[in-house]
Amino acid sequence: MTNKQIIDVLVIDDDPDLCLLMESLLKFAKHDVQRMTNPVFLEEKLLQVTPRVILMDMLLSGSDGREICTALKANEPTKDIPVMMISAHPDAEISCRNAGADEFLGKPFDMDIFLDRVGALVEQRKKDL
Amino acid sequence: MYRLSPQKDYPFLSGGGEMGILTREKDWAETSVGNPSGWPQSLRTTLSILLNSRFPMFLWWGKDLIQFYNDAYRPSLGLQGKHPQALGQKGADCWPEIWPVIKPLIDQVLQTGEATWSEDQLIPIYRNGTIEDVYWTFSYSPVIDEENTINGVLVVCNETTDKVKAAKKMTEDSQQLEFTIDAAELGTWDLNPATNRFVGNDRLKQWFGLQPADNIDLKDALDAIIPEDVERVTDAISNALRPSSGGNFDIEYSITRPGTSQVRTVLAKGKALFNEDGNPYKFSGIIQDVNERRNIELALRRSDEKFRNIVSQAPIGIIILQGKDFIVEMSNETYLQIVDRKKEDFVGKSLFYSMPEVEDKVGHILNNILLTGEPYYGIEFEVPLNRHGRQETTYFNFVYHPLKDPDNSISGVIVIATEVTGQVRAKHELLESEKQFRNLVTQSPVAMAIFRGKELVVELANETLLKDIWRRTLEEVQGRPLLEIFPELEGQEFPALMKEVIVSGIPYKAKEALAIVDGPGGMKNFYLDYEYAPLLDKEKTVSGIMVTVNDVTEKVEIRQQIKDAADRLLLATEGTQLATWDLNLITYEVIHSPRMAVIFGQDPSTRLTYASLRKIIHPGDRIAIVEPAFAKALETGTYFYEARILPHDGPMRWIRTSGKVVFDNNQNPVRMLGTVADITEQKISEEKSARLASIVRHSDDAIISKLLDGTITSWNDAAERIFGYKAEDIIGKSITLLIPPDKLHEEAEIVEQLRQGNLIDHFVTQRMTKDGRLLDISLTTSPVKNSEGHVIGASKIARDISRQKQHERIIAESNEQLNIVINASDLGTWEINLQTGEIAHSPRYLEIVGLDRNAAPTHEELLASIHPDDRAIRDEAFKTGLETGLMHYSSRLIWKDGSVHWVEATGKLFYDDKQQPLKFIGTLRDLTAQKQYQQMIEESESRLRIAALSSELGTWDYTPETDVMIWDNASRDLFGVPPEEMITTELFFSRIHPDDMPTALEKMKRALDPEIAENYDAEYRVIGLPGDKLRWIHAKGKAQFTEDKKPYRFSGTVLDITEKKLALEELERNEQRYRFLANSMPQFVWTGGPDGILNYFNNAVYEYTGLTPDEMSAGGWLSVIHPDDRQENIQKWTHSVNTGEAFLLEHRFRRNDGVYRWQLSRATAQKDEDGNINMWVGTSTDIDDIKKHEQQKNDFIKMANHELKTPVTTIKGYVQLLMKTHANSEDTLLTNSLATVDKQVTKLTNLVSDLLDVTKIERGSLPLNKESFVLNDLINDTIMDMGAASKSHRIIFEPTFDAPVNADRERISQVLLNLFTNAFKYSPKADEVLVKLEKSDNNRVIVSVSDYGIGIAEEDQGKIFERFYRVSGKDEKTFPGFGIGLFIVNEIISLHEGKLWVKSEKDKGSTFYFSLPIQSK
Repeated sequence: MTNKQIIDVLVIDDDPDLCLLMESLLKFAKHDVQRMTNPVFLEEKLLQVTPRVILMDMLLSGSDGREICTALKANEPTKDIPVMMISAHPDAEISCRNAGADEFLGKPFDMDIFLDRVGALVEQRKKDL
Repeated sequence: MYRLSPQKDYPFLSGGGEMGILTREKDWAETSVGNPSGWPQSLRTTLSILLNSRFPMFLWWGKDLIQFYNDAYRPSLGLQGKHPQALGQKGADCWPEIWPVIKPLIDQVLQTGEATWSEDQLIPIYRNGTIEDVYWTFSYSPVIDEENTINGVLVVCNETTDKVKAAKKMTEDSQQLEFTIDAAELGTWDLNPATNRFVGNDRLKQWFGLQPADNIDLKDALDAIIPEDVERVTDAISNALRPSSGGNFDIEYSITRPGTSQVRTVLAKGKALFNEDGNPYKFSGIIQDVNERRNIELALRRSDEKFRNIVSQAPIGIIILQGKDFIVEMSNETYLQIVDRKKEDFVGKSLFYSMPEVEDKVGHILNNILLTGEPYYGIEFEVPLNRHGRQETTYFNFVYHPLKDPDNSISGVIVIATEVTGQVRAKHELLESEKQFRNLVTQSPVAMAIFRGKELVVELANETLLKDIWRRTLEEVQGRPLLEIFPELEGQEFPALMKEVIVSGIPYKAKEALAIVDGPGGMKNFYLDYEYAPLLDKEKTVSGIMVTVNDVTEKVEIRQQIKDAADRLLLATEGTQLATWDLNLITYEVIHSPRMAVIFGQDPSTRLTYASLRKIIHPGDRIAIVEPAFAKALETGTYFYEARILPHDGPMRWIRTSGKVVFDNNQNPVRMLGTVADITEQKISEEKSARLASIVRHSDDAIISKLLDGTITSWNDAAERIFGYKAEDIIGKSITLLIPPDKLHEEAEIVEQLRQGNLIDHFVTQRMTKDGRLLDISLTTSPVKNSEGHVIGASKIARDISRQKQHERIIAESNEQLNIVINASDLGTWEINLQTGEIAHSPRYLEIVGLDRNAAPTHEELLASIHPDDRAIRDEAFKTGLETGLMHYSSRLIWKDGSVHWVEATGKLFYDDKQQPLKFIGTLRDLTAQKQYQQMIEESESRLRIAALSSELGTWDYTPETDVMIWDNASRDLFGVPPEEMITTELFFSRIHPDDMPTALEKMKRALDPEIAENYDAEYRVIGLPGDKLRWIHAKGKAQFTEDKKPYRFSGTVLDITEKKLALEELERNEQRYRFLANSMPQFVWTGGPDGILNYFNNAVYEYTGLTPDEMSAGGWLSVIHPDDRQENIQKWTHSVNTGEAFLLEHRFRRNDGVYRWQLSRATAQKDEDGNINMWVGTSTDIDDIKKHEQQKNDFIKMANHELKTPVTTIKGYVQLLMKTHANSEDTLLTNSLATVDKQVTKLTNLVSDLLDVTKIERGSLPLNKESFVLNDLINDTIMDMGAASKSHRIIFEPTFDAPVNADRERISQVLLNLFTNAFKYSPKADEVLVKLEKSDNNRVIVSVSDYGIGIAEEDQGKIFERFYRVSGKDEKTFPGFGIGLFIVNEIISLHEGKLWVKSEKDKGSTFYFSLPIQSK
C-alpha cells in the first residue's frame, strides 16, 4: 500500500474554463477535487492520487475520452474507479457506456443534476471501499 | 134506312162488291143526280159496266160531275183519303189539288166528245194521310146519253206508280253500272254468240285498238292478243259457250298496246246465257287491266333479287334477325367470315345460341329495338368475339335497324356491320401514346413552354409554368407574343436572350436568374433556373425555342383565374336574333353562339360540328344551294344562301346564312365568319301569297276585281275563257259591259250591298259574253277593303253553270248486264242516301269489309271498321266528294278478326231535281294483295337503303369486261360527281389524290388478280371537290370471278372518313409534338405502365447514362442506380405502384463516366375517372450539388452544435453557481441579472439542439428511445416544468382516461413543450391554455392543445409544419423563434406513427392535435 492521496473527484477537460467550473461546482458541494486539462499526464497523476470518481470530457484535444476510459477499466489498479463522461454530443452516451463509462451527462447540464450524479458516485465509492 | 134491292128495283146497281153496296146504300136524293129511279139509261148502263168491271173505272156525271167508281179503282184513293166520301161527291170538291190539271181534260172531252189518253202521268193525290206522287195511265171517254148529249166522262185508268218507280230504279242501276265500269276502269263487251260479233265500250276499243264501230267482229279483237295467248283465249270462249261449262269465262292474257310493242295484261271475265234449247243467246262480260299488279309483282321479285344480290356480295356484314329470340334468318358471306362461323351452324339458329359471347354487350340493345323500334348506331363498338380459336376484343361500326311488319309491329332487326378492329386498335395505341406524352409534358413538374418566331409567340405552356410562374391560363397566353403577355419583361434580359437563341440556334442556360413577372396579385419576384433550347423544323432551321424553367423560389400562391371575356362578347351577340359562327377552313372546326343550336333545333348548350350542321340541311338544298354557295364563297369571299333545314324532331325551317371569308397572306381561305337567321316565317308568307296568285290564275272560275264605280282592275285566264275578253282589253273598262241590258239594275243593288260590307254569295244570274251569248252564272262577290277598313272595290267569282244546267241523265243497258259486270269485276258497290241516311251494299262489298254476304251493318259500324289512323283520310275524301262530286280514297280496314286490309273506294255524287246532293254511289276494291306487295317492295328497298345509309355508305359496281362503272347517289356525293355526269374509270382515277394513287391502284390490282383475290380495302383522298375540300374515303370491295378465273364483277362500298382521318392526323401531330418536347427536356423524364414497368425515357436519360434504348428497356434502368440505393428504390417504387401514392426518392445514378450523382426522383400516377392508374409520369432532377451543400451545412451545424455547447455549459454552470452562492444576497441587480442570463442561456441551448434535430430529420436519422409510460403523467410533468418556467399562462389539463404509450419520452415531452410554448407565444392576450385527451376509434390517443390567441389563417394552415415558417401577427410584427419547432414536432409525431394537425380560426385561437397509438396490454 502506498500512501497515495485519496480525493473525491478528478476532473479531466481540455477546456480550462469548463474544467475550472466543474472544480468550483464540486468544491461548492464540499468535495475534494483535483483537475487536469491534458490527459497525457493522467497516468502520472494517478500515481500520486487515487480519485474516488473520475470525471472526463468525451472529446479531448489530442485523444479520445472513450479510449482513456477503456484503458482505465483494463488496468487492474484503476478498473474499479467509477468514470463519468461528459459530452456536447447527446447521442454519445451509448458509445461512452460501451467504452466502460459508469455514468454519462450531456452538455449543457444543470448544476443540481451534475452535483447529484457526481455526489451519488462518490458516496457509492466510499461505501464500496 | 131504305135499302134498295138491286135485283128488284135497280138491276143496273147489282153486283159490284164493296162499291156496289156503297152505291146502292147511298142516299142519292141528296145529290144533283137524284134518286136512281130517275137516272137515265145511259147512266144506268155505264154504272152497270163500271161496277162490274175489273179495270179501275171512274165516272163523272152531270153538270156537277157527280162521281162513281168501282172496287178496282178504290185502292188508288188510299187508306185515309177521299174514299168513301168521293162517291157521289162533286168532282171539284173531291180533287181540289189536281182540278186545274184534270178539269181542262174533262172539259175537252165534254166539249169535243173526243177521248183523251195519258200514259204514266204523274198526278200526286192526297191519300194515306199525305200528298203522294202517283203515276197514272188513263183514258177519259165521253158518255153520251139518250139525247146524244155528253153527260159524263168515264175514266178508265191504271195506277202505274210501281211500274214507273221500277223504271226509275233501273235507270239508277244503269248509272251505277256505268259508274262502276268507269271507276273500275273496265272494258265491257257483249257478244252475240250467233254472229260472233260483239259490242264493246270505248275503253275496250281503245285497248284493243279497234275502230269505234258499233258492231265488231270477234276476229278483229283476237288480232290484238299476243300470239302465244290467242289459242288459250279462243278455247276459253268456246268452252264458255258450252252449257256444260255453266257459261263461265275467266282468263288472263296479254294484248299489244296499239302502235307500240308494249304489252298490257288483262283479265277477262264473263258469263254466257243459254236458252231452253241449251243454245247460248248472250255472252257478256268485262275486261280488267291487271298490268299494274303484274308490274308490282315483277318489281317485287326484282327488288328482292337486287337486295339479295347486294347483300350477298357486300363487303359489309349483313344479317337479318327475326323474332324475340333473334333467329338468324339470313347472313351474308362477309358476316360469316367476320365472326368465323359456318353458315349451317349459324343461319336458322338464335344469334345468342351461336354467339353467346356477345349477348352481354348487345342483348339489351337488340331487345330495346324490338321494344321501341328505334334504330341503334354503334360506332367503334367494343365486342368480345370467339373466333379463330380464341376470344378477341373486336370493334365494329354497325347499324341495328328494326324490320317492320305491314301492321307496323317490329318483327326483327337488320344488322349491318363493318369490322374496324384494326383501325380502332391503331387509334387506341396512338391515343395512348399521345396521352402519355401529353401527360408527361403538361404534368411534368418541370415548368416549360414553347415559343415560335421572333415575336416569341407562345405555342404551348405546361401546367407547372402557367400555374406557378406565369399565373396565366393557357387561353390567355397561347398564340400571343411574350411581350404582349408580360410587358414588364421589356428591359429584362429574357426576351433578348430568347431572340438570341432563335437567331443563333445555340442553347442558353442560366441559373437563379431573377425574373419579375406581373400577374394577378401584382408583380412578383422569381428566381429561376432555366434553359432555352432551339427547336428545329424539318428544314433544320430554328422555328422556335423550348424553355424549361425550374422555379427555385418558394411556391407561388395559386391565383384566381381571370374570367373569360369571351362570355361577355357572347352575351352581346345573343341580344340579336342572329346566330354567329366561326368556321376554321383548315380543320373545319366550328365555333358558334348558342342561338345557332336553337335555330338548328337543338338545345342551346349543344356544340354543333360542321358535319352535323350539314346533315341538318335539307339534302336537296345542300347539294343544289349550300355547297355551290360554299364553293363560291371560297372564290369571292362572300357566303350567302337561303336553304331549308330539317331539324331532328321539328318541322322544316328556312335559314339565311351569310358570311365572310378570311384569307391569309397567300390568299388562301383560312376562316369563315358569319351569321345565321331563321327566315321560316318570311318564307311561309312569301309562299302563301305566291300560292294565292297561282290559285287565281289557274282557277276555273272567272275571278275579277273591280272598283266601286265598276272599273275592272283584274281579270284572270278563266274570265278570258268564259267571257271572251282579253285582260288587256277589259281592264279599266266598266263591269257593265258584261251585264245584259235587262239586268243592269242588279249592278246598283250589288254595289249597295258591297258598300255595307256584305258578301253576295252564289247569286244566280246571267251575264253576257263578248260575242253576245248569255251565260247562266253563279256569282259570288266580296267587298275589298283598304287598310282603313273602307270598302273600295270588290272581287267577283263567276262560275259558268250553263253546262251544269244542260246536264242530262243517260239511260243505259239492262239489269242483267249490271249483274254480270258487278259479279265479274271484283268490285263491291255501295250507295248512301245523303238525305235519308239510308245505305245499301252489294254482297261483294260486305265480303271485302270482312262481313257475311247477307249481313246488314249500319253506317256507323262500317265507319268504325276503318283503321283509326285512316279515318281522317276517308272523312277528307268524303268532304271533297261533296264539293267536287267525286270521291276517291284508299285506306285500311280492320276486320272483326283483327286483320288489316287495304281498300280503295270511289264514289260519285248524284243530285236531286233541285240540284241538292242526293246520294253517293260508289265502288269498293280490295287492295290488300296489291298493298302487301308494295309493302314488301318498300321493305326490300328500305333494307337496301338502311344498308346504304349506315354510316353514309356509297355503293359502286364495276364490270371489268365492259369497263362500266355504276355509282349510287351517295357515291356521287362523296366524289362530288353530279347525277347527270357519266362515271368512267378515267373520271374515277382523276378524283384520287396523286399521292394515294399508287397504293389504291396496287390494291385494286390485287383484288382483281384471280390468284390473289384479296378483299379490296383502301383509303385515299378525293380531289376536285367544291372549294378544294379535302375528303378521305375508305373504299372496300370484292371482285367476283368466273369459272375460268376472269373477274366479271367488282363491287363494294365507299365511306367518308374525313373527320376520323383528320382527327387521327391531329392526334398524330400532337403525339409527335409531345414526344419531341419530352425528348427535348433537359431533365430526366420517364413513364411507366400501371404495372410499374418503365416504358419510356427521354433523350436526357440516354445521354446521361450512356445506355442504349435496348439496354434501358432490358432492365438497365436499375443498373444505373447506386447499389446502396437499389433496395430502397425497389421497395418504395413497389409501394407506390401498389398504392398509387406519389413516389419520391433521393438516389444516385451512375453517369456515363462512372460517377454517381444524386437525383431527386418524383413520380405521380395518372388516373382515369374511375381512379384506375393509367400510367406513371416521373422526373428525376440532379440534386448532387444541392446535396453536397446540404452535407456541408449539416456538418457545419453539427460542429457548431458541439463547439457552442461547451461555452454555454460553462456560462450556465457559473450562473447557477453564482445564483446558488448569492441566493440570499440582497443585491437585486445581481440576482436578477443572473436569472436573466440563465434563462437566455437555456433558450440558446434549446435552439442549438433544435437545429441539430432538423439536421437529423433531414438525414432521416432522428433516433427514438422508446419506452412504455402513461401519457397523462408526462403531460402533468411537462405542465409543471412549463409552470415553473412561465407564469404568464395557466395550463388546464382535463384527463378523461389513462393513455399508456410506447414512445420516446424525451421527444414527446419536446412535442408538448413546443406546443405549450407556441400556445403561450401566440396568445399574448390570453392567460389560459387547455389540454385534452381523447380516444379515437382506431385505438389512438388524441392530445389537443388549445389557445385563445391570434389563430392561423386558413391559407397558412398547410404550411406551418414546413421548415422556417412562422405565423405573422396582425401588424406584421414577427414573433420570435426560428419557426422550426412545429417542423420538428411533426417529424417526431410521424416517427411515432402518429399524426399532427391543426384547427384554427384567425383571431379566435388555434387547437393543435396529435395522435399516438395506444399501447395494447
